[in-house]
Amino acid sequence: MTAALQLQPELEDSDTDLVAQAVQGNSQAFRQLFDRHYRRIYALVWRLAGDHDSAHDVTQEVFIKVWRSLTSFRGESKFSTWLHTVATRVAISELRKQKRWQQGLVLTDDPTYSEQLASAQSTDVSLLDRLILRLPVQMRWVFVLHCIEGLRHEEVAQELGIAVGTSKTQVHRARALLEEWLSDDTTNNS
Amino acid sequence: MTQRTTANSLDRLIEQAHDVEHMPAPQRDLWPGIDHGIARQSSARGRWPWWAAAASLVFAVGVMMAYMSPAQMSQVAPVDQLLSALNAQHQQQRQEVLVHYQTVGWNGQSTYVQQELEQIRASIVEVTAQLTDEPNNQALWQLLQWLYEKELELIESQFVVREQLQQV
Repeated sequence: MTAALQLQPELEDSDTDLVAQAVQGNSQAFRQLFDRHYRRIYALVWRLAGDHDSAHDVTQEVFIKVWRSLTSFRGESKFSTWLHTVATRVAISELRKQKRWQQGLVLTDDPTYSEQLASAQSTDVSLLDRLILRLPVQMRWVFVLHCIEGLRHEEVAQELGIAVGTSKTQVHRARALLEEWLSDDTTNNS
Repeated sequence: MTQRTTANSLDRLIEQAHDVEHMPAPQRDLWPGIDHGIARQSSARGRWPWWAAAASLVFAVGVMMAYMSPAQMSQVAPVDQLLSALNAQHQQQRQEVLVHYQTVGWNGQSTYVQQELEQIRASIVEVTAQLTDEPNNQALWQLLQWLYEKELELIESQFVVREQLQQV
């Protein structure tokens, strides 16, 4: 799925062993898998969700569903790759259940929008993460999945149920906006 | 800043976004909630063999009653012993379910559910008594099986509702 998510080979081998133990019902083995991967999964979910509260809930849901689906992991790809695929699908599905996340429905008096603005101004996340929160929801999802998670446009289109051309256009627009905001940010700080 | 420089800066930020130290971090421990969810699923999976065993035993007894004469039945096993074994098995399963839910944070039942459960348990006692008198009544055996199932469903449904309310 992505070159950005590759881990060290020896860690991947251990992941396979831990998955085999977890499939047998060993929750401690699953805990170790969680410890190794939760930071990256949380980052993915947070960048899609846009706030910590939703990201906490959805990340927990992701790992519960991963536990349930472990038997479907055949070892044909790296565990981290499979995990990110499952996480992306669960996150998109869960976030879509919340109507407020639908593109175009985010109103300025919506508390979620306010929360996102607060997050965008907070200093506990990187500059890029603060800037991407200012993107419209679908544009942000496309940007995160393509530019950060490394999915191809065809994969992004499939995951989000949009046309490949839409994915390309959204990435182009997102980059233009981010470059503009980045330039403003640099100017204001200089 | 030129357009090219800005584009390069953005690419650099995207590259940095893959480093764990630049990633947003959760503000609380996420594992307890996951552990809870996993425990519930494991319990649900682990309970089926128990219930399947009880259900199949009731079904087998029901079929036996339907096709065997009272004289033949009395040679197989006394009906009251069969009923005692079934009820004991059901009570053991109910206790295991309750103990599990208590260990994952369930703190009891509502008055309404408690009343419903008491009614079901009273019905089980009543049907058991009737079956002692009418061991060939297949409908009664099916009713007993249904009551066992309903009691467990009611316990579980209340736990699910409680958890959803906590989430809200």
